[in-house]
This record gives sequence, C-alpha cells and structure tokens, in this order.
Amino acid sequence: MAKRASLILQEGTLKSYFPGCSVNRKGENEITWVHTITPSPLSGSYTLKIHYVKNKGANVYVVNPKPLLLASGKTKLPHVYSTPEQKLCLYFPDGKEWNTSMLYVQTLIPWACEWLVHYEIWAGTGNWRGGGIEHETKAEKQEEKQTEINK
Amino acid sequence: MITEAIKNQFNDILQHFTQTLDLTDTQINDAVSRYEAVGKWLQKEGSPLTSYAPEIFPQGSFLLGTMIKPLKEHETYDIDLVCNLTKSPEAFTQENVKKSVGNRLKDNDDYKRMLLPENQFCWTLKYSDGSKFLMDIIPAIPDSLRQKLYENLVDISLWKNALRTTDNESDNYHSFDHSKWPKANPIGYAEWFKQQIKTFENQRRILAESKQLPIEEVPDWRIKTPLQRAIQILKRHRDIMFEEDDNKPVSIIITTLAARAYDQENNIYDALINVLDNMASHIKEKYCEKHQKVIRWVENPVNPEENFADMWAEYPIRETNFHKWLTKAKEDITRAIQETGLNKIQESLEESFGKKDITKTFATYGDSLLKQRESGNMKMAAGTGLLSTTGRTTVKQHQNFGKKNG
Repeated sequence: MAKRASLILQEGTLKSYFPGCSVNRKGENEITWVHTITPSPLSGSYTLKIHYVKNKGANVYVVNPKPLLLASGKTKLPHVYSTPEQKLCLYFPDGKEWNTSMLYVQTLIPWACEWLVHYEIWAGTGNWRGGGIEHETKAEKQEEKQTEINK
Repeated sequence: MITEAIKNQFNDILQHFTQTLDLTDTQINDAVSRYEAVGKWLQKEGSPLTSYAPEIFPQGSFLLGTMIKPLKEHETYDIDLVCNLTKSPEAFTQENVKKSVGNRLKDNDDYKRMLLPENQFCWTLKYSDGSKFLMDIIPAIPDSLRQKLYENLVDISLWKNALRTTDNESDNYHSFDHSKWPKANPIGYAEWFKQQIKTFENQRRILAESKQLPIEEVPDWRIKTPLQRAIQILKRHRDIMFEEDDNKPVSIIITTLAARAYDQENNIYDALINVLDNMASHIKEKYCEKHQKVIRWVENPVNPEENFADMWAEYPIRETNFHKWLTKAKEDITRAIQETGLNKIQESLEESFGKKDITKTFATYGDSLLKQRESGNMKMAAGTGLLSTTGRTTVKQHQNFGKKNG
C-alpha cells in the first residue's frame, strides 16, 4: 500500500496549480480546498471543494452553482454519491484508481473538471457520455430488497 | 470575448454537427456503386451508345461535397448523373440525345422497371429498396460552340467541359442547332469551386494519408474543407427557416456567393461569419434584356451570361427572403457561441438547426472527449482547470462511478 501523501505536499501543489485558491489545512488531519474553475472554453464556471479528513477519505463537491441544473425529465445528477450534496463519484473505490498517496491536482481535480464538461453535455442531451460504471446507492439497494421481500 | 480557444471548441462542435448532416457511409457507398453500375451499362461495349463514347459523372452538391441529407426522415435524396455523349452525330437533335439514353436504360429490365415517367430534363431511376434514393440521369453533349462563347470570358480550365443539355418542353427540342440548346457546365463549376479553396489539394493529400490510399483514389467529393462544411450548415439553416417555401434562398446562390466570399478561413465558425458578412457584397447589378431594366445578378462563374438570381426580378420576395435569411443565420450563430455552458449552447443551436441533429451532435462530441481522455490526450491547465490537449497535468484514466443518467 503506497504511502499517504502529506497534507503539506497536497497544500503546496494546490497552491502552485491554483494561485489564489482557498486552502485550509489542520496539520495532517484535515484539509479543505475551494476554487472556481472553467473546464472548457465554452463551459460555465464552477466552484469545487475538496474536503479530506484523515481515515475518512477525500470528498469532492460542486458548491456552486447549487443546485446544478438537471437534464430535462431527470430528478438526479449522474455519477454522484448524493444529488443534494453534489458530491461527485470520480473513481472506482477499489483503492487502485485513487488512494491517499495520489496528489489531488493530478487526480481528483482533473477528474472533477472532466465530470463538469460531461455534466454540461448530460444537462443538454440527457445522456452521460463520460464513461464509467453504475452503482446503486444504499437507498436503492434497500428498495430492491424490500421489493423482493414483498413478492 | 470570443477567444481562439472558444472558436476552436465551437469548430469541433460544428464538425460533429456537419457529420450528422452528411449522408451515412452506407448511403454514400450505395450511391457510388449504383451510379457506377448505371455508368457501366450505358458505356458497355457493343451497346447502341458505344459509338457516341458516353462519359458518366456525378454533378451538383454530391460532386461539390456540400450535400446534406434531407430534413425529414421520409424524404428522398437524389444523386444527379450526367451522361455526356462525347461523339454524338452532328445531326442529332435534343430529342435524339434524350431518347438514345432513355432507350439504352430501357434495354435493361431492371432499369426499365425503375424508370419514372420522363422528366423535362432527365430520366429518373427510383431505387425501391426502402432507401428513398433517386438517380437523375441527365443526357448531354459537349458544347461545340464553347470556345467561341467563353474563351474571352473565363479561363480554359472552366470552359473546356461546357455542355449542352435537353429540354423536352422547349421549342428547339427538335433542332440540331446547338446554339439553341440549354447550357450546362457542372464540371466547370466544380472546378471553379475547388479553385476558391487554396487548401483543397492539401486536404486530398491529408485524407489519402489517413486512409492509406494513393492520392488518385480520393475523389473530389470526399474532400471536406471549412468552406464546404460552412455551406452544409448554411443550407440546413435555410431548410429549417423556410421549410417547403418556394421562395426560399436557392442552394446554387448560397453556394456561389459563399465560395466568392470565402477567405481561406481554417475554422468553420470564422468561415461562417465571414461568408455571412460578405456574401451580399458579391451580388451585382446588370441590365437585363428580358426584363428591360437593371436587376440583381448572381453571376454563374463559368457562364457570365447566366444569372442564378434571375427569378428575383420576377419574385422580389425571394430577394427579401435571401437578406432576411442572411441576417437570421448570422444572429443565430453569433448568439450560440456567446452562450455559457455546453447545454446552453446546445439549446441555442437546437432552435435554428433542429433538436434531433443537435442532440446527436453533442452526444458524439461527448464521445470524442471521452476518447481523447482515454487515449491520454486530455490535459488540465493550472489556474483555470481548463481541459484541452495542452496543460500542466494529464487527466489520468478513471471510471466515474454511480448511476449514469441520474
């Protein structure tokens, strides 16, 4: 298992890539990064937030706009852990695609930018063209179980 | 502000749009194999036409690379084929030319079955496999008077292939006096059109390389430059704005003026804006015998005596519509590029170009972005987080997780 990247290093690279961004680090226990990006020349601007807590993993959020516009006829965002929280699903959580040894600026942030471009295309077409795997949320799994029981 | 980066991304999206307007590969291959088959039959050794040395070639928007699929699903698409009898007898009348080609077609059981009732200018074959494909076969002869008529007006490369065709409703249908037959010059026009695009031959070379073919095997009509793409877009805009209206701007006027206005732009958006801004300035005015007054003139570049805007004098609404269309096309395209967010741009383009094709455009654009990242060519810039082929870090492989479509 690769060694966890120090939060000092994460902060350093964040500030180097995104001068003027807001970084709040609490020792080696917690770090929060907020910055507004524009993922493509024709795209809108979005404020991203990364929040990492030691042993609890890193979460990526779109904090602005909130709520993000949904595609016509849809009630949920694609590839998110939570639509109300706008918490993005950017990788398969097997520890290999992403883990704490990796720098946010080389992984989570580029992936979030890519997510945003495909989000815009989804908002217009109703179709996610950005690849990926589907998973069910806990709530959906529970619903299915209930349906089986009720049969 | 419209930066180069914005124009380049918009250009990518427009490329995907024109690909939705193109005939499918199947449709194109079918069209080619069908006209080659007709050509083979007309040119067969020992057929009644052999001694006339027929030449067969496509014409019109198919040849120019500006063809677009029909607007409605159920509509037919046509390919025009010219059958040029290069050694027909001097005494041949228009009728002789027309009938000899028609008779040869009828000698073939299949074509006889597929022939529609004789058209004023051509024979039409209807292919009944549900593909909604029609082929118009236009009998013609070389214009024996072409040198005298054109050598002081246009370059030899443009007049050497000038033709005469037939019109079975004309008073001269039974005349062998060529000076009284209808004039046509599809090869000359196509040659002129190519000459307006400086990168045409270079594009042929690039296409040949990408398909690993010798240059000679890449026909003119496979080449797509920004001018051709712009013309495809303009024609579709016209289709949606006017639908079936008889007074809509005609394609030959759009194509000719656009080619005159084109200034070698590399980017489809730039080509569109420049062409829309400058097309009108290439409309001339000339005194017309027929109308006994000065009228608007869109000169046929290979036959200065022909006015493509001839009908404008009789139907002034057509001139009005042309200018109305120019204004709206420019507004629509400019508005779209100024929107923020791909979904907003999509919405804007849907209004002028139709929901179905534009939705497909953005879906295939999305696919191309995924492909770009998967092949390791997507990078993120520092500062803005902008994704493109250049940037500080490459977007690594990953799989988005979670419900696809929300």
